[in-house]
Amino acid sequence: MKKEWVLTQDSFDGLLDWLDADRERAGKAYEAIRLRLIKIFTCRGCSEAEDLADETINRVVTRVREIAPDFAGDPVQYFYGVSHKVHLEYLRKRHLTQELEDTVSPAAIQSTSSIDLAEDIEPEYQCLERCLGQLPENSRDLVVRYYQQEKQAKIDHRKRLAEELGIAVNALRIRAHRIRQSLHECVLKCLEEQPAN
Amino acid sequence: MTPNLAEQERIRRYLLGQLADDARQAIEGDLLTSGELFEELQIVEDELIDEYLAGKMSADENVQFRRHFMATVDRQDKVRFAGALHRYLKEKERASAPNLRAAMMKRAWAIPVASLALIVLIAAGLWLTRTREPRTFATVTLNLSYGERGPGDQPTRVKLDPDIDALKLLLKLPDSSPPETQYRAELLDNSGGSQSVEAVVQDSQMVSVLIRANKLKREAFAIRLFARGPDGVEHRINGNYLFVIE
Repeated sequence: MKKEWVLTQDSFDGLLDWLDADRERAGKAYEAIRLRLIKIFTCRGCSEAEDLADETINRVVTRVREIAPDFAGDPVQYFYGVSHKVHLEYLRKRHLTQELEDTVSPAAIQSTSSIDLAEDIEPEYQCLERCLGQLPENSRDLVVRYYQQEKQAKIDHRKRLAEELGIAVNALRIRAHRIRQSLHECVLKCLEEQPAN
Repeated sequence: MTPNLAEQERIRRYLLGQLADDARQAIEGDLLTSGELFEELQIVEDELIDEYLAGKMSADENVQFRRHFMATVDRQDKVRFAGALHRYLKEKERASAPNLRAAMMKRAWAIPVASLALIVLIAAGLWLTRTREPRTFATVTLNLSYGERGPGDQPTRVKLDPDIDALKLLLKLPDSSPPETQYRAELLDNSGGSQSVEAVVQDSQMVSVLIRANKLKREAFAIRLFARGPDGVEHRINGNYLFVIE
C-alpha cells in the first residue's frame, strides 16, 4: 500500500495552514487525525492500519493547496472521504486473501483462539512488573484496585474507590484507563528493549 | 462526557464489527471529530478485552471478537498485555489471601459470631422483604436495542407516579429464542453500577422482570439478559433493553 511519495515541508505546511491558523493547534489537530484514522482502519480489521492512515494523509496533502480555498466545513470530513477510497483499494488488493479467510471453518477459529490464549505471556508479565514499579505509588494503587475483584464485587468496589477519591465513577474509569494505557506503552517499550531470542 | 449505555453499546457493536454500514460510518465520522468519543472507544476496547479474558462473552461475541477484533497485531498486543495484567492481579490476590486466613485464625471466635450475625441479618432481610411486597405496578414493554441509532433504539421513557411500588418490565425476546431456556437479568445504571434482578419467563416471546421503584432514580437504565439452555451453558443475549425514568 505504501507509495513512494515524499512529504515536503511546503506541502505539509499547506496542510497545517488548512487545519488551523495557529501552528501549535494545527500540529495537535494533525496528530489527532492521524491517530483516529489509524484506529478506524484498525477497527475495520486492516492489519496495515498505520500505513493506510499515512497514505490517506499523503493523498490529502497532495491536493490540499487545490481544495483548501473552496472547501466548506470541517477538513476532517475530507480526510474521512479519502480514507474510504484508500480502504476500498486495500480491500481490492486483499480480496484473494479475504476469500481464503472467509472459508475458514468455525472449528478452525476455535482452535486458533485456544492457541492464542495458551500463548506464553511471560515477557509481557516481566515487563509489566517492571513498569508497575516505575509508576507513582498512588497510580499503581489505583490501577490495581480498579481492576481487582469480579462481577458485582468489582462494581461495588469501584463505587467505593470513586467515593474515596472524591470523583465520579466515570472519572475513575477514565483515570484507570489512562494509567493502563501508559502501562501498556511502557510494556511495549520494555519488550522492544529485550534481546530477541 | 459521561457516556450513556446506548452509546457504550453502539461502540461495543462497532468494535465487534456488528454495525450496519451506515451506522458504522456514522460512528467513524463522530470518532474523527470527538476526542471524548475516541477515548471512550479505547476504554470500551479495554473492557471488551477484559470480558473476553474473563470468559464473560456470549458465544456469538466470542467468535466476533476473535474474527474481527483480534484481526490486527496491535489488538493482539493489547490482549497479551491485558492477559499479563490479569495474571498480575490474580497473583496479587492469591498472595494476600493467606494473610487474611491467618488473621481469621488468630481470631477464631470471630467466625461463629460472624455466622450468627449473618443468620440474624438474613432472617431480618427475609422478614422485611415479605412484609413489603409491592402492590402497585407500572408495566412497560421493551424491545431489544442494538445501539445503532435506529428508530427502535431510543430508550423507552417511563414515568413513575409516587404511589407505584414497582416497575414491571416485559422484555420481548429475540425471534430465534429457543424453548426451555432460563433467563437471568442485570440492571445497569448510568454510572456503571449493576444489580441482578429476577427474570420470569412469561411465554416463548416474553420475559418479565420486577424492579422496586425505590431502586430507580431519574436516569437511564439498561437491562442485560442472559440465557441458560438445557445444556446449562449461559450466554448473553446481544443488545440491551433501554429505558429512562423521568
